[in-house]
Amino acid sequence: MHKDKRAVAEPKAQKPLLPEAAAALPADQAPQTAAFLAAVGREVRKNRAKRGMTRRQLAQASETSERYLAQIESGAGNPSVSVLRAIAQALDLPAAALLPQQGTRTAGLGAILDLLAQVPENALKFAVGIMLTAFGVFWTGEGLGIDWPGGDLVILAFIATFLAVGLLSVPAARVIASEERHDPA
Amino acid sequence: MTLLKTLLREITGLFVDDGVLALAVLVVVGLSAWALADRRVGEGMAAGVLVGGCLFVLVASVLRAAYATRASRE
Repeated sequence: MHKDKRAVAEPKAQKPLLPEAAAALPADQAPQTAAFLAAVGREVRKNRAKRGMTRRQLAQASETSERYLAQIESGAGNPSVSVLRAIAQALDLPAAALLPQQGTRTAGLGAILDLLAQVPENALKFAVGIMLTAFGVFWTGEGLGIDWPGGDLVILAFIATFLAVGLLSVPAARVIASEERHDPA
Repeated sequence: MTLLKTLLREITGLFVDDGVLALAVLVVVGLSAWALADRRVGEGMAAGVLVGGCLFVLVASVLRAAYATRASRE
């Protein structure tokens, strides 16, 4: 990953934007600015959670302080463009991805999408894989003329079975992948 | 021609990520269908082949990926 230390140099004492900095803005702009910074903070937190990174890991990767990152995520910090760029790089994203999309979502939809986005990507893929496999086996059996015991409810049993086998396989795979190969020679 | 090949590869890639896994699942489905045809075995046995086969393929695929990851690190 490209590191530009000069680009991410930040003053040590980061002043929160609110209420002091926001108060310095014209009265009609302060609420919008605060909302914008809060939305930027949500984007940072959402993308960090999506990649399964802790705040400390992201702070280290982006060469910012953990405290400042917490301020940004809570909407209290007003990150410079270079800091936002460094955070985006640490998240393997373009800087623009951390800027909120204006006016494209309703508040409810945004909240649901934000909630979903906090689920790590691999967990989502795992869940989708389990569902696809369970429904796939069920419908393939139906197509072959198998009369499943319990009717449609057997799908729940398939989901439970594939979930259990998947959850047991993953730790085993991790052990295999991480262990060293022992050559007899 | 190269463009056509790339196009076909990309379209296939949308549906098939792991060719061996896809082939193994097709074998399991084919085996179940063959077992059910002409009532060679009972319905329960065919269902067992389908479910058990898919579970086996799933575990084998995970383990295969794990060994491949280990091999790529070495």
